[in-house]
Amino acid sequence: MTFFAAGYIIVWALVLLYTVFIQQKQKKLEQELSLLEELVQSKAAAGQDR
Amino acid sequence: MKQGLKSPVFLGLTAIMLINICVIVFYAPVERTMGIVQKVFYFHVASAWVGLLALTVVFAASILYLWKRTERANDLALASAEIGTVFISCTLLTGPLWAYPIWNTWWTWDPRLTTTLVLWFMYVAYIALQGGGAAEARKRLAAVYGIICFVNVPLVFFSTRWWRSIHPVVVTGEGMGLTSEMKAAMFLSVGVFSLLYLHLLRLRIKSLALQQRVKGLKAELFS
Repeated sequence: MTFFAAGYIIVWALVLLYTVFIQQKQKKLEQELSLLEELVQSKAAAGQDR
Repeated sequence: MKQGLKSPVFLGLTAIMLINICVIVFYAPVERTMGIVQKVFYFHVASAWVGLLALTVVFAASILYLWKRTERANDLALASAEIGTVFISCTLLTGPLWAYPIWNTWWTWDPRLTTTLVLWFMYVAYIALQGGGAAEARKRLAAVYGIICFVNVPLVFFSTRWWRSIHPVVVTGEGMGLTSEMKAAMFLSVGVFSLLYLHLLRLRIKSLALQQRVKGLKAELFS
């Protein structure tokens, strides 16, 4: 039973770690994207003012 | 729509996985000679199946990239290689857990085990090659390497038939050598793991597309 439980835990731990890795990356990218979009908009607005 | 761990798709998949484990524990019979440790088989085979499927997708996406030169094909290849590596890692880690009580050794340089380990190293190298990202030449090189790596996939599958091996063969010319309950549990595991692969693939491709968009905006901003 120990080996069976260990096998089950290893599989789901690896899958969970990978899911968390994707999620963290996604969150970071979304934050970066919204910041960049703001900067692009403000750059465009500054260009129109000139 | 909620994303990631709280998304309905992920919660649905978690529910199906719980059903899968219940089927493995309570429905699938205990094998007479090996005992309960044989039930590792259901994760081991399903992981190996998804690993090989993912690496076949890398092969197809690499050909598509060389043909069409689209970012989506490169993203599909990279995402599938990452997921394939995760599942091949699962196969390589669950195998010794099953082998030790049965073969009395954690590892042996059997053709199936060796070709699988080589496959794992090849795809880790593929991910490292893609890691630099940006340059077109690097992506082209990764695509060519992704195609070459695929040579090892049939080698892994047929290794137990072509060479003398102590690794059990599940699918033979005479059938599968499993009871109907075992077959049901195995196909359910394979189905659940395949759904998990598709879900992870979708998530990772989305994340890679976002990465491209961020890169594009940075270029626009600093040009």
